[in-house]
Amino acid sequence: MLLLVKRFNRWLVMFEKAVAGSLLLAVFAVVLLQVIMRYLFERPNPWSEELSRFCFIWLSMIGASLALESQSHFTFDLAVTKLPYLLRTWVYRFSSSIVVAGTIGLIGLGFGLVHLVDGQRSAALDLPLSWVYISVPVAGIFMLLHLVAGLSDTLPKQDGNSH
Amino acid sequence: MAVILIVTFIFLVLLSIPIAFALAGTAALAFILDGGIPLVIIPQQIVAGMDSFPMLAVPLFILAGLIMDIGGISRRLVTLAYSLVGHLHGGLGQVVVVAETFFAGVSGSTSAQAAVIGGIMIPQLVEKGYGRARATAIVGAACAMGIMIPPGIVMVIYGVIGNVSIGKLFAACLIPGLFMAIGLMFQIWWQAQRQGWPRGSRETWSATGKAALAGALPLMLVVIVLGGIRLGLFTATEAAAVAVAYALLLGALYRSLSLHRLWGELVRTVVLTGMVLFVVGAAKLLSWTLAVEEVPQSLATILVELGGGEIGFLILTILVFIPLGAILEGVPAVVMLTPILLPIAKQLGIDPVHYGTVIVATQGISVFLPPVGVSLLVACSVGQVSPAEVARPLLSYLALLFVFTLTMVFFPEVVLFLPRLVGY
Repeated sequence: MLLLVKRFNRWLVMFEKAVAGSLLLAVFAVVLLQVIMRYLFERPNPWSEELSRFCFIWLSMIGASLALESQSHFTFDLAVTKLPYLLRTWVYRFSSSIVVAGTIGLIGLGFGLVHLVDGQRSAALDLPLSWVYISVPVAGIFMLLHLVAGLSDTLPKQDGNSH
Repeated sequence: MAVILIVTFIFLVLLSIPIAFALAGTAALAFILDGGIPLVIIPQQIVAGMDSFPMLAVPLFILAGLIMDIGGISRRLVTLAYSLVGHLHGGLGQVVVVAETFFAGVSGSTSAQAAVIGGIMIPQLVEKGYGRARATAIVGAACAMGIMIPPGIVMVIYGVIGNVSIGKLFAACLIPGLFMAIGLMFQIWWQAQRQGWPRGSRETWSATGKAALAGALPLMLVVIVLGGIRLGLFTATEAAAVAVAYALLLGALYRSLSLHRLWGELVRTVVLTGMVLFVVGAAKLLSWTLAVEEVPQSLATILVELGGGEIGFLILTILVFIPLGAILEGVPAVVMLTPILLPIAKQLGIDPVHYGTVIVATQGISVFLPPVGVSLLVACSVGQVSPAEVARPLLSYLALLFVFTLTMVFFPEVVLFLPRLVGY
């Protein structure tokens, strides 16, 4: 069961990287196109700013999920690493359960928000706003899956030798 | 209420909970204590923090910097720096400062920058006879200074959050940044002369010319970005996209890019963007919450009554930013404090550009502050020395940077004269 979760998690990470990497390429292309359109065709592009912003929100949310998976979020862990081993284990368990609770909250509230903006559409592209906001609960689900897959090793990687 | 929130935040951070989660958690607690605010505002404000076209400059500048690293551009700039100052007293140490000035701005986090520069330069410095602690200290000092060289991610973030012109911030940081670089070079030269550090040989003129030619195209990038923004050819975000295109072009010209490595840099950019923007979103949520509870207003009243005026408030800002930046990294510190402190600064009549420049400079010092500065720890792990060994040599450089920062506090003209000169 655990093995299955881990395998799924690896697949999910690859999927997220593919999506977010493509979004970044899209943002780059759209912004560059905006400059080119303005100078070469003397026609400002009405939708490029909005499209790149929406891609950027998705990219940031998925990036936040990938950063959680690779434990690269800004964290102050100097205090905890000074604790004795047993206590440290419990602190890590406690803090990861808070993060898990946070992601669950993010998923629930995110869907609430998607529901709330139902029917509203964006100014330039006339896209449903829910397409943008759904990035929050979706990234929340990704984060939760990463956390569950990582639960078996409660301690961060660098402490693996202290057993 | 404010006290409960601050204690909660510190508690969560000490438990090694990611800062973005700690910020959002603190805000959630405020919602619960207040009882009247719909919780759905939480995700709405997080997205609102990310939903900004100027903020798009962040991932694009990071990407441009990473492509320059793998595209052989950084190496050319180091070669150029070496042929310019390598033969002076403490030459290789000065090369670090010059190279950092050439490509400092376009990096996402100071820690990442310290890892990259340290990885290239520390082995070379050690090979030439520098001690590991000295080598690490020089790299740390150069990166702490490099944060002031535009274009910089922290400037973009401060500009977006504080609604300050990003181009103007770039121009304002340039002169003090260059002064800091020259100051550091002079200090290294002075120490090298007194302590007899090794020096390199003078390159022949033709070798220098070759290096200058090779470095000219990469250096044009800064000119294109700063000039293009100033002339109104493009916005800061568009300039960042142009920078990516230019870096790709150079990489193709030097035939040093592979699709595989490019994809790797795209993914690295995504993760860095996620780190930065998740904190930005969470901080936006918290500052919205604090504004509803009128915390900034009451804080402003207290601080204004305290007296001290402009200078006093700028000093206070430095005192708050140094410990916070050391513990949290610069971006989270800037993102958290700008919405609270900038309105007070404006109320006191401080120019927002001046204020931002002081913050950026302070942030560079704080992340390298011994013994806990986050970027210092990264540099130490690259240099394989303990923070305690690096502390002494590094503190002498940081002291110099601090003196420059104080100069900026007392003489706003140092900062504001270039933006005025070029007509912002």
